[in-house]
Amino acid sequence: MAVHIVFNLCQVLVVLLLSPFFRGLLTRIEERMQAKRGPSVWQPYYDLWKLFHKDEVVSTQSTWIFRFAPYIYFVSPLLVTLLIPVLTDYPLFMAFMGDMVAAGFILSIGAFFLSLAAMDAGTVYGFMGSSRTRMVSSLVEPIFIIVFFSVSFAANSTIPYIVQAHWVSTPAAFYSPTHLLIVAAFIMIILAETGRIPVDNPAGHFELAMIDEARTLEFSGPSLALVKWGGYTKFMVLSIVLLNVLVTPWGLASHLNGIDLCAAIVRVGLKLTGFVVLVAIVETSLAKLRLFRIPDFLGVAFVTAVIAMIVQPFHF
Amino acid sequence: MNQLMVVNHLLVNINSVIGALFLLSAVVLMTQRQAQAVLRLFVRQSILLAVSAFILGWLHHSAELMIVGLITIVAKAVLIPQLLTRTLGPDIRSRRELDFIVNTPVSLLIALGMTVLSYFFVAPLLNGANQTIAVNLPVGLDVLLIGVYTLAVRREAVPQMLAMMAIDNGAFYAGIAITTSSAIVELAAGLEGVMVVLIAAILARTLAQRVGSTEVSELTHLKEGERIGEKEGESE
Repeated sequence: MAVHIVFNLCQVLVVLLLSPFFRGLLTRIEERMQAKRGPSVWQPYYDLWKLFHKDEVVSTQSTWIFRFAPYIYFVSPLLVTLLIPVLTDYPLFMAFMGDMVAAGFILSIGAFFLSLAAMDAGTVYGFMGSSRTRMVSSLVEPIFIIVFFSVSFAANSTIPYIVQAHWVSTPAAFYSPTHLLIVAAFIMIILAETGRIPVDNPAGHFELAMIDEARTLEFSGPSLALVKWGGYTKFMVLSIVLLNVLVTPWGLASHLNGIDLCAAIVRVGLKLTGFVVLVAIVETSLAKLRLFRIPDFLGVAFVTAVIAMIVQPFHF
Repeated sequence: MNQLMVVNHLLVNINSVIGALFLLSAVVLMTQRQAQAVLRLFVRQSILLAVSAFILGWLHHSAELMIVGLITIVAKAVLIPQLLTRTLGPDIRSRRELDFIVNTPVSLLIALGMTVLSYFFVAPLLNGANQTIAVNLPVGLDVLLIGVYTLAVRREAVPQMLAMMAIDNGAFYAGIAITTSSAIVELAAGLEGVMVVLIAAILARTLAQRVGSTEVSELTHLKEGERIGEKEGESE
């Protein structure tokens, strides 16, 4: 039991410490693909370090929400980390506290508070960013739900550990069209939820075109660091759900010891690197969509998810 | 022997995955605005069809299905794109449709409805059918229906033409699972497809030269001259 708790905390630590690295890696690979040099892979760490040592400016007009939102946004992906198979393929201490739906809820609480905080400061861009992120997430929500439906149809459960074990144990289900369509829809959701390129441009500095970034404009110092770090961990948590639960459910630690755990960290790191390269390719080859084209993009994701559900009963 | 069974099993699974991609390609083809992107998707869809034909040919030990795959690749993945890029000028190929007759979210919902319908119609036939038929038959029917719908809602000549060829793809995708002797049909259809695309492309180019646009929905008057005359008549 104690080991399970320790391992569970290890998962959180791994996500916490490695997530800025993968963001740095993503930026670096992307810049390389676009024939630029790009910042160092460690740049997100420097940024966080710098921001944590800066003073913070908080508007006197703002309320407690503005002060607490960064913490909630920072903590919510870490709570989800407790529920999903990051390193081990056997359920850990918190595994049955919540399923994928709960994970979705926890993530959206963080996003909800960040949107509130952005409006709390009263800037125009904050309002714009909040309403736009709400638009995107309200479109993403049904897709999430449908994906969970399809997954639970296929695996008879929405607990991530059980779903992961299901794909490993039944190769026929793994190669079914349902599985592929779920994966395709989920990748599109990740791109939309973490503000990557077909939906939002994370490198853009033009306030009028911002979606996700516009919410963070009012934050400074440690609060901004927490919001940024929360964004990194959110991306990593969603990619881990995609990789460890859906796409490549192999390579996790299956024994209850430290060596296996360390090996699993390396393997998961490799998988994540692969996914980061894929995201970099997608981001380099696609252009950012206009705001009113986003429903089209997410519409395709929605149809993909629903088709996955329809197709399900015919293949087993 | 056992190894062969493993290979066959894997091929059946790959065929299922290809089915999913095939269906996805039809849905995305419906939503693409650029003629160039539609063409690229059509080529990929045809390659998927060919790979499925190769797999089924291997599974059923049918040389004819292999030939079907080859014809598909030659006609649809090589000849048709070549013809289109040669006969049509770059300005037509790079054209974008800004608005469809039906907007994209509604179209997607309709595509969804057609998927439900095709599975609903095919479901009674699937009792006891093997997995390749269970994938190819409904997916093929669905791609066919989505192709018909795409043909109906498009305004530009080039995407319409490609939607028509996508209908053909859907029909063949269903066909290769049911029968193993469709090589002659595919040969005829492939050649016909090439001819149709050639003629339609030349027509589209002439259209673009005469009218300055390939937007089919604008072709409501018989002659340019008459329309001007009509307007003058009104003003008097």
